Amino acid sequence: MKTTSLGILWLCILFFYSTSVYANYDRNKAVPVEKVLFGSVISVRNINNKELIRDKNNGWHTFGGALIGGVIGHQFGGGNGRDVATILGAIIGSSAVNNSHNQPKNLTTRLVELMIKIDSGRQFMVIQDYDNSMVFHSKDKVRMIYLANSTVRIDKQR
Amino acid sequence: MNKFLVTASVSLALIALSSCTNKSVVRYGDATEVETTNINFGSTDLQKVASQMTDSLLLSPVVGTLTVNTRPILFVESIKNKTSEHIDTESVTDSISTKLLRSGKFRFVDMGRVAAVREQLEFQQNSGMVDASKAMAFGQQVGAQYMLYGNLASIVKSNKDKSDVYYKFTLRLMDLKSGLIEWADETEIRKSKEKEFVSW
Repeated sequence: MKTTSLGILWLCILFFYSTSVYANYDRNKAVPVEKVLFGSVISVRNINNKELIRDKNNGWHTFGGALIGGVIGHQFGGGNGRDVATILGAIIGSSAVNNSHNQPKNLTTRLVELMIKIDSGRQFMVIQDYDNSMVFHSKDKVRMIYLANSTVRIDKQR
Repeated sequence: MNKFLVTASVSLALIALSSCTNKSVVRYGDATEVETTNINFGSTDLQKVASQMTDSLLLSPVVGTLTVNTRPILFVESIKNKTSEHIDTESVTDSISTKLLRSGKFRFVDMGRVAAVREQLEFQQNSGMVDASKAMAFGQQVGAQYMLYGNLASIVKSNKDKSDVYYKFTLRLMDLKSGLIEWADETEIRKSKEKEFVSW
């Protein structure tokens, strides 16, 4: 009986911890930063893994020069100098793996392609996860944060 | 004995279950109370930065000279946030400008409201709904003489047992006519978090 009670207590503890919600995007966390560039959004385009597959088949003509940011950059970039094609390929691979494990067949990875013009005039294309809590529009003032783990993240300035 | 064990176990289970219910309690707290929920930039940091910067600016001999016979007009340029955190730097500058306005030594123009002001003036001038003799005219506003601007940067170091964040907030006051920086100061904040081993 004692064991049963202890079991119930354990279940309670597990339930308590498992209901904690962790956001994918944690923009309020203090982490090491290499540099921050300031600029504005020229264009925004929502993309998904299907477009990545199309571009892969075309030899990465569209996304080959992009910087990979956000959570995907953190997940697949890893700071080990992997090139864009490898990282984007890993994202495609990841969604394919998910599809094969009882996930809906039409599972899509929502990404956003941002063309950023920084204050010095240079332009960068950044691909990062789509985030409902921070939707970008053209002319938005943004920060381009180079994190110490060799990834980039685009945040709104305000 | 067996009955006692059953009762004790059921009681323990009920206590465990009741302690696991999800209760929310709302309380009012002291807005100036030191906040240490986590290591990230928080309300205490904002208050510390705003308070130290305002005191430094108001006590500066240069600013004392500037404000002897006049109330200089300032505008606040956005603070450049060079940290990894999404900090509302407008809130920091709002606090600073409010404290400076309260001191009675400065006046401010709000560049964040230019579009709204333009819309209102256009309404007064062009809608036909406002008495033309009393409508505010374009071109009569006063320009800022000084610009207040700054940076917020951080250095973060961490290992598996300890995290350390160092924030540096720099503020400068530039004379827009001459381009000279009349005043500058910086304030630092260091926060650290260590794992503590619970002892019974």
